[in-house]
Amino acid sequence: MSVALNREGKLTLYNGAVDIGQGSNTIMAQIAADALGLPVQEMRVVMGDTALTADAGKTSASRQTFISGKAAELAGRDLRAQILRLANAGEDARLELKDGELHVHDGVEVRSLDLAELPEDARGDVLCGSGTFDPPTSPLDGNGQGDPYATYGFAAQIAEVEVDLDLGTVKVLRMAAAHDVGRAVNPTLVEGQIHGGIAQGLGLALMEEYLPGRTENLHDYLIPTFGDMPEITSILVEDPEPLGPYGAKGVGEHSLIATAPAIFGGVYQATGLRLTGTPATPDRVRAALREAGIV
Amino acid sequence: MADGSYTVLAGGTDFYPARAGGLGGRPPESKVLDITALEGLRGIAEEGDSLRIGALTTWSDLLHAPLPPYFAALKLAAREVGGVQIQNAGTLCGNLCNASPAADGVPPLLALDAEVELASQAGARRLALDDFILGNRQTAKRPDELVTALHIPKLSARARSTFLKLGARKYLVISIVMAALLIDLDDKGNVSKARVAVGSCAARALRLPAVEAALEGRPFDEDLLPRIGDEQLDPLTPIDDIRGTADYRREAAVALLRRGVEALLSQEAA
Repeated sequence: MSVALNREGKLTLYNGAVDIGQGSNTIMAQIAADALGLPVQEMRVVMGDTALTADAGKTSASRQTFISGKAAELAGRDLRAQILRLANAGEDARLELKDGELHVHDGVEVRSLDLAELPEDARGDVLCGSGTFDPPTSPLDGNGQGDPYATYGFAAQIAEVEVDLDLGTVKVLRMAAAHDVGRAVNPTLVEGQIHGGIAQGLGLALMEEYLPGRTENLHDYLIPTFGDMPEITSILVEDPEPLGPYGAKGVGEHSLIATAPAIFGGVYQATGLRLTGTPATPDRVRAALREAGIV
Repeated sequence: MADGSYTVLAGGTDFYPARAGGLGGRPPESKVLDITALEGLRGIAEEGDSLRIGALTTWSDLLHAPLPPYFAALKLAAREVGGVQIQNAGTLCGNLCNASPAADGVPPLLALDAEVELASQAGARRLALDDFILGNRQTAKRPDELVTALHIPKLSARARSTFLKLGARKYLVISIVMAALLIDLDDKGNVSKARVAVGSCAARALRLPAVEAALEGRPFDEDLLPRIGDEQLDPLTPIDDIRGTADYRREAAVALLRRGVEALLSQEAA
């Protein structure tokens, strides 16, 4: 990750973390802007341009906020340190970008940096802060002991379901989802991740089934619609992750993983039926209810 | 059209997916006749003892039209045909010509005793819907004919109908089973007319005369529910497929029919 200023005072985050809809462009800009000490709305984001951005690895495993986010924080801090050094200002100085000029407020003093005087780098910037982060892990030993991952997600979800005993249909009415996200860098995006994961988990539980050659279209391979979604209550637990940026860690698949077990647990509570296979389509639920002697 | 080599295009909501190869539709090389500019084929009008629904009438047109209460089943089905974009483009008659076993419009139109009006250079003719759809994607329409309208006979102001669709998700779904029920009452509150149709349980949606007979002439009350049973589903020949097993479809058909009667009873009570 790198954060840079050009001669016109334009601030750019060179972000190699690919945003696939989850909102990492916003998260990275928020973290870098906070570390630098300038407002996030000043931050232009260049994402995933191989000529301009460093490789941030793939967007998977809930890793971007934790790993690339940490790199973004370090990049922001690096640029801030360079600016403070040039301005000969203290740690607590406040930065301000105004009309293309960079002002450093240090106590009662204000120093302005003439960006136009500085030499341009290959990207046309005059100041650039960089950060990298590779979380500390160790391979498993012969006894299966080690730290394969630097952090883990923790979640608890509860589903309230309604089972139609005649038709075998399962309707998820409500879902409460508590997720330890370390620090919610952007609570709305965290909730979006939780909602999206629940939609995917509900599809896994109740309808999605890939049969090669048969369900290779979206009228046979069903994914949930708006009408299938429960009312969701998201509970954000903020137990800081020591390695993460501002204590944050990712929240990608956690809500997907917890959803199907929560739904099946709800079906058990409602009917006494233990479902063991996905997807629990209406005909399968009805057959299982019959087999279990419930109907 | 007289040489019979044209594929007729109206809403296009079945035509284009089929042409893309998804549903094994007509060969792409056939010539296409787009009839959407024929304004005279669009709209719903009273015509003596019946209502005429023009061939270009869309599902949305139907939903927004003021119609008697016995059209409730058809309106409920209209809301189930894809999403709103599909309902704005797709036509009722196109749904019939496509003749899918799971066509949402067919059970309600069977319950309404709809007739299909066809025109060709040889003149016009009408077929009962039951005689028009012959099987899975097969109709009695000759290649030189154009479906021009549907005719729905008027019923008494007491007639009511409902439609139930069972799928593995809420919206935009191909049904596992669907059922349409229409009931008319005489002055004593007895069932004077019962028309019941089930879809997705045979190569085409079918009326169920045994269920109708079990309901007709009886007082319109909860005692009707146990009169509907598996033994009356005889014309149905459901299959096992990814959406459900044949046995499940039979069970679900009975459940939907009973719920349909319950829904009509609660409407009457309200």
